[in-house]
Parts: sequence; C-alpha cells; structure tokens
Amino acid sequence: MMLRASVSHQPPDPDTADEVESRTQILEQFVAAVVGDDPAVAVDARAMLVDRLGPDWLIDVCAVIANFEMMTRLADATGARLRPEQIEAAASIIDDLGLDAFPSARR
Amino acid sequence: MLWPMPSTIPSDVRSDLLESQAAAWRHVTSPGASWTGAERRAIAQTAIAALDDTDPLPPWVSPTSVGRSTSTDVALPDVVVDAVYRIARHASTLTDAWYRDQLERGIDAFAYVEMVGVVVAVAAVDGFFRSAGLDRPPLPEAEPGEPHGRHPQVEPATLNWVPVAAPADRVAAVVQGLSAAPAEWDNVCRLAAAQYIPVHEMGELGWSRGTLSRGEMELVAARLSAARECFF
Repeated sequence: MMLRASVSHQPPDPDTADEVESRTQILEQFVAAVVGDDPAVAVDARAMLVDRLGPDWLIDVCAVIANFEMMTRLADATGARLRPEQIEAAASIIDDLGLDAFPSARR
Repeated sequence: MLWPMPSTIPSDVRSDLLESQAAAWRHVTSPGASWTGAERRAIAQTAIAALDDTDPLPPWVSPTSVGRSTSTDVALPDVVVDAVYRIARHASTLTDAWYRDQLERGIDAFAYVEMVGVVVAVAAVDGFFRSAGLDRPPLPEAEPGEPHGRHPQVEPATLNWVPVAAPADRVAAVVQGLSAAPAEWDNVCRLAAAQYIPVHEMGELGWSRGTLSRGEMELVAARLSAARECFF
C-alpha cells in the first residue's frame, strides 16, 4: 500500500500535460471538499467532478478515498513505522522540500 | 441481496465495490477471534457514531468522560468505547504510550488488533458513501455465536506497536499491522482490491481501473492521507 510518505514514482501519462493538470486540479479540489466540514462545498465538488469527468470517475475517486480512510487508520492505530532505509532514502527529498519545517501535514 | 440496499445507490456503481463493502458489513457483525458478533457490531456502531459526530470531541477528551456514549446493542467497556472513538476520529494523534495505556486499562492485545480491524472497515464503507454523497447502508443484525479464540503465534515488532504474526518485520508495517487478527487483514485486502488495487498488482505502477491512472490514484491517496494527517 502506498501512503503519503511512500509515493515515489508515477509512470508516463499518455494524455496531454494540460489534460493531466486539469484533472489533477479537479481531483485535488474534490478530495479537499469532501473531507472538509462544509456539506454544501462537497455537493458542489461532486457536481463539478461529474460534470467535468463523468460519473464513473466519481465512483472510482470515492473508492480510493474509502481505501485511504481505511489505511490511514490502520497505519496509525497499529503504530506503523517506515523502515530506517526508507527514511534514509527519503531524507534528501524531505530536505529539498523543507518538509520538516511544517508543524503538521495540513500546514 | 448485497445489503439492505438504500434506494439512493445508483445502478452504475461497480458491483465488485458494493460486494466487497457488503461483505465487510457482514464481517464486522459476525463473531471474530476475540469478540462476539454483537460486540463487533457495537464497536462498528460506536465507530459510525464517531464519524457522524457533527461536534467532535478533541482527542484529549474521551466520550465516556463527558457522557457521550453511543447507544449500542450490547454495552462495551468504557475503555473500548473511548478507544474506538479515538481511532475513528483522531487516529493521527495516537501514540505508543496511548496504546500501552489501553492494554493497562484492560484491552487484550489480540482484541485491540481485531477492534482496529472493525473500525478501519467501517471507515472504508463510510468513506465511500460519505464522499459520494450517498446514504450509508445500515449495519446488518449481529450473527450469533461466540468468539472462536484462535490466534496466530505473535511476537513484538519494531515496525508496529502491536504484536504481529511471527516472524515479525519481514513485510511492510501496514501489511503486518493486522496480522495478529488475520481475518481482519483478509477483509482489508478484499476491500482494497475493489477500492484501490489488488495486492498482487501493487507493484505495477501502470495499473489502472479504466478511469484513474495509477498516478491519479496515488494523488487522491496522498491528498486524503495528508488531510487526515496520517503519521505513517
């Protein structure tokens, strides 16, 4: 399972860069909306996703959300930790992005 | 029939997804290794109440200390109610010390891992229906029967707080996390295969279900994990 800390590689996408960027923005906005506290924002986000990408996308995106509502709790409730070699391998990326300067994943 | 199917579920929702989630609903209301079906259903009810809570308690306030216990079929010990609420609502705040405290307060380690398995399955089913804006199906009635009491041989792990099936630390922490309750891990794998990627396809970075590319799946996963502040 790949969680936040373990995303390391994405294969080439056959779509155009503009299409990928547009979908990326839609997906990011959708996830932020449906995990937020405002039901009206979530309703609008669902309508936008279905309108721009189609109903099959709504189902598949919500399925991935469901999976990681599961896996995040599984990891944190069982005290899951990365192996030292994984932390070592990610050290330069963490340093380059300045991730240790953030007080939390949200801020 | 898959579930007590709400009429609001569109007919075009993938059947493999609904079948895996219906199986999960049956699983969490059936007897396990440490808990009866009624107790597991009560754990699931408590998790659902935590997820539905529109005025959630902060992590440092336990629901039983402020009279916020959920009405369940069978009464669960306060320590279990509080632990389930915390895992469902504030998993990213959990610590090794908190886990040790649960054991000292009377939760058996095998029972804890099984309880986590129930809560995470509830979070999955709830997560799908909540994010899709659909009515969540009700839990089935509890299956009768006693816990079977069979547990794998376990040992301490360095990659998890919880004990894991021996030999420890041969697989990733998230994979061995529920290994002390193998039926719960099997349930997670069934859900993951329909919601995300079948375990045997995990290494295939070009894997796609037809809509989302693998990269887009990981984007959604990463954004959700960040929003939940997943420590891992």
